[in-house]
Amino acid sequence: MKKESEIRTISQNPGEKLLNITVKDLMPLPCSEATSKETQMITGEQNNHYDYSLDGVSALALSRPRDKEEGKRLVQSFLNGLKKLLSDQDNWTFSQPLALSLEFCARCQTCSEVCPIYLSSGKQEIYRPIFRSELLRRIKRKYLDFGGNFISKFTGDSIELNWTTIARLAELAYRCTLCGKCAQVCPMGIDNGLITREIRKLFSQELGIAPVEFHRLGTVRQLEIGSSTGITPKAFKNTVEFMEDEIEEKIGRRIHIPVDREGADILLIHNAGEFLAWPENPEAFAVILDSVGASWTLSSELIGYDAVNYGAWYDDIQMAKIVMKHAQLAKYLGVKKILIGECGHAQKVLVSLGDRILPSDLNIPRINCLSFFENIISRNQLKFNPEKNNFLVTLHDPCSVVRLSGIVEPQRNILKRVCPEFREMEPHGVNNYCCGGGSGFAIIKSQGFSDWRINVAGRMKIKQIMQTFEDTNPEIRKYVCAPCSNCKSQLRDLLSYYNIGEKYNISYTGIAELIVNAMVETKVPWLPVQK
Amino acid sequence: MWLLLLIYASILFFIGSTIAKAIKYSRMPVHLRCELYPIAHEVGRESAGTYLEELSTEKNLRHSTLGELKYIAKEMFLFQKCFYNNRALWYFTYPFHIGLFLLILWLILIFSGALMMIFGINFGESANISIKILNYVSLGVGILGIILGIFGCVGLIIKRSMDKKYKIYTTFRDYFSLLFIFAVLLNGLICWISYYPLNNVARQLMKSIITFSPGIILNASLSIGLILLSLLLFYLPFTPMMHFLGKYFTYHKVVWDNERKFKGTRLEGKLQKQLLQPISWAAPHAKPYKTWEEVIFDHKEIK
Repeated sequence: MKKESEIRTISQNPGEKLLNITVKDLMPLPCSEATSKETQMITGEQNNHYDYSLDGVSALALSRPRDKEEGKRLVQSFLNGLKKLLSDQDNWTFSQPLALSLEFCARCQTCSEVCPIYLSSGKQEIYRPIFRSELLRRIKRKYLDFGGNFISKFTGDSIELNWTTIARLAELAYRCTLCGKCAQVCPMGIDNGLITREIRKLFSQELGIAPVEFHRLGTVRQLEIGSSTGITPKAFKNTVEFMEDEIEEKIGRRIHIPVDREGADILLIHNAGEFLAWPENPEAFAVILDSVGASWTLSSELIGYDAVNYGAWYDDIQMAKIVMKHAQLAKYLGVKKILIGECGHAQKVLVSLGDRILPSDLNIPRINCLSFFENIISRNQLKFNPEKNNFLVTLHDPCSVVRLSGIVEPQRNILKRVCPEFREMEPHGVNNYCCGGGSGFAIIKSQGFSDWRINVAGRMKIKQIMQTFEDTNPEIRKYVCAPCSNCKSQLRDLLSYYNIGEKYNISYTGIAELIVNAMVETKVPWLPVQK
Repeated sequence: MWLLLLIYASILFFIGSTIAKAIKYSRMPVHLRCELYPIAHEVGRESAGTYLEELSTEKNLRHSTLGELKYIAKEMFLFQKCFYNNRALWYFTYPFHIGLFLLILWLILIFSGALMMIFGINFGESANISIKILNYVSLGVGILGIILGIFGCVGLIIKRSMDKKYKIYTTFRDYFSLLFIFAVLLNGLICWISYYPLNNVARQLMKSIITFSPGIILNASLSIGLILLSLLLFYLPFTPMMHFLGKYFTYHKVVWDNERKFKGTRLEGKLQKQLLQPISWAAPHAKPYKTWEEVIFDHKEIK
């Protein structure tokens, strides 16, 4: 049921949902056969312990305060965190863009017209890009600005700051994928995604509140045991042997995958999720690098085999620690460059964000795999038979690669070369829509959040995919190429949930797999042949 | 006399506040990169892509000021982003802003005319043809500016008060700001009618402001207009309507800031200093660190 939530209601009716959203409220899909199910019900026991008062699901599983005193302490901690967020010392990393975005928004709502979550939700007010930004602005004005409490009584924008406000704001920070689409169309250059990430950061760095998948099972685990996937250095070495065996089966010759080779030109770092979910992707990288005679290596050191850096989504401190570790490893191995695998946020952290964190002696060049592959292909270093990719291929542009990192043409040039039936989605390139799994949504599994992610956050992407292939025979084999692990994970869930993958013969893949599949040398199809 | 002093004070306050705000933002720390592509100053890549597509990491990007100017001109004079993504608002916000730009242009023309008068150029019946053309152009610019401004302003007030998606986010101070501007514009129109052609008295007035020569006799509408305009200049720096200034920083210092850090550069020096900044975040994983340098050098070098 659609509910027009005004900002001031955010602090009212604790425990009651601010929004009751059902499938009927959502943006319609072009194909009536696409299935949508209601969000997973929260059990009574869960409801007693955790706060679902935003929209009935939870990314954070926040426990309600035990008594009024605890509630007051949390409110005070929040205000302390907000002061630090606005400070040039505690938050030099983003204080300027945050201050600008808070001060100069004209509330013209241009951002709302392109936000995939707001549009997919059937334009629910609480998902409007400026809803959470405006809430933060009003809290700042009333509680931190000079005379704010007095002035807000007359200006009609007073917000009561209580536990309910804080809990709902914390959850709201996890209803935006930080895709940057809103900022791209903002006439003022205001970035609501950046404000959202800053809210996440406030909660993490001051109150210790973050999704368990990001923090305890994410960055903390990565720093302690080497990877958020749980892969240890020993397990990683076993995985490499397994990959060598698989490659031999597929191309008929054994490739040695170099690990910890000092003095190699390139240190290749994959998102470790690839080793578990899609080993054919790092295997394809190995085939390409071996075929062109590159001097390269993987690393089995802690963190060296996992490019992910979940800090990018919620915490500057964790992000800085991990990016430093990656650079230290490259220095230790004496490589000339770090080659980043198909992982969008790793690209953004290692190349853009990390650039101003890393000290100069650790500022080792980092390059994107798409540009790297394009260079190989343009120099005819690989022999192709593009007819081997005789299926329809479209490209999903990962936000972190395209809009946020500016890598736009290399992936297109590759696909045009190796996939004769490549077709673009609309819109595409820097104007793409997020897959809905961005900013870590694809790995948050708890408290009904997965259903929300697929039903709401990913709805625009599934609509785009359907529209891209709507003029084709359902029997024809089709692929969505997504050169990003996080996006692939989301596409896997979307295609399965909406029952589109099997019915319309649509699958997903990375870009390295398509390159190797088209190579003359590859005897057995690299991509599994579907029924 | 007092009116003249009020005008001086308001102009000085507005300029001073604008400069203070600009200094405040320009002195803020260099932040981590959060640019958005495409970036208007990248040569040959204004519509998509970036230097990061190249494998060479040694060279910095080639900077095109012309690319930036083209982008800014399209945005300033056409409101492209609003036009393509929010047409319903564009119909009002565009004439409103263009109206204000035209009025600023009118003021510049009046100011130029006043300077010419000081230097003895005649604007009366016997003025030469080029001066007459200048006079007619400024007349046209002024009246068009006022009409467009009033139309846009009324439209925005109606939009903000009737359309739910704006109404929810519009506060008392937003209405107050728009009504304030409306009052100034409406008064301007009244002055125009009562003083037709306003240009002559406006130039006289501007001349007395430039030369600090009180004594010019004004009617009630023009006096009220000048008071309102002065108060508006006092009020503007406290509102988001200073977004003309904010926009410079959001584009040049955030959205388009993809400057790469190289050894020995000023950027590197600034960042090194910032790593020494103290931090005081209270979460368990953040608490042990006293500076940003401690954060990034937390882990031992790999041996």
